[in-house]
Amino acid sequence: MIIVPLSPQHDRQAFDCGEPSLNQYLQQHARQSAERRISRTFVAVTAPEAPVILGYHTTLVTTLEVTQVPAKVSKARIPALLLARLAVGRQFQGQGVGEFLLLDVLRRAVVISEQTGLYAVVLDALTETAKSFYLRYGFRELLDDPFHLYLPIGTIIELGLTPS
Amino acid sequence: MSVVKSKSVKKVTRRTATRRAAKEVSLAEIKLSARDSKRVLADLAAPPPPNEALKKAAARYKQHTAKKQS
Repeated sequence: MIIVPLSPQHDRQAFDCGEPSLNQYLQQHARQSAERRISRTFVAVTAPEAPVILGYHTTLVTTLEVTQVPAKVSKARIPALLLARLAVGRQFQGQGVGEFLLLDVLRRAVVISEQTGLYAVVLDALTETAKSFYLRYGFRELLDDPFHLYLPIGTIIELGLTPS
Repeated sequence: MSVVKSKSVKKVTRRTATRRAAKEVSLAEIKLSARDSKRVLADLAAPPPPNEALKKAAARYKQHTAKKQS
């Protein structure tokens, strides 16, 4: 299994992860967003030329707007990498594809953090099942928005994921 | 008439594209409450160590990518 940028050779229409919004995003929006440089989508495939998409992830840059306590400086923005989408095709679920995609995102976050400021990987889990997947790997919940999860870059760097 | 129609179609297309882009960009702003701000800032200042599941996943990932490169 390898991770490559989404390209026209990939069969997006055949992809079905069981969640219509994630299928639709890949089929209709992922390439347009990449062309506009809003986000980047990478797909897991078995070989460089393989058209079948096992799973995909989409990331973009985000900021966390924090309220300082006490509010001397009322607001500050913390740069983070937003894991906007991560999905695995139905027939490939339970085979470690999701974990592989997640680790690929974390490795990319380390690479970005070596070039510019990046403090965390954040995401908004779509379902309870998705949320428990991320919690298993140590993602932390926001107290006031428990579906928003984050993992500090310092935690990720400790994993020693070699940039490739 | 056809020129007007063509302009109108272009306008709609641009608007649709902008709306889609706006939808994506709106994902890129996460406002934290005061207590979440405190929690996140504390975590960023002193990041927790990775848990065992994440360490094991990282080990599997490294092994897999090393295999692919060799």
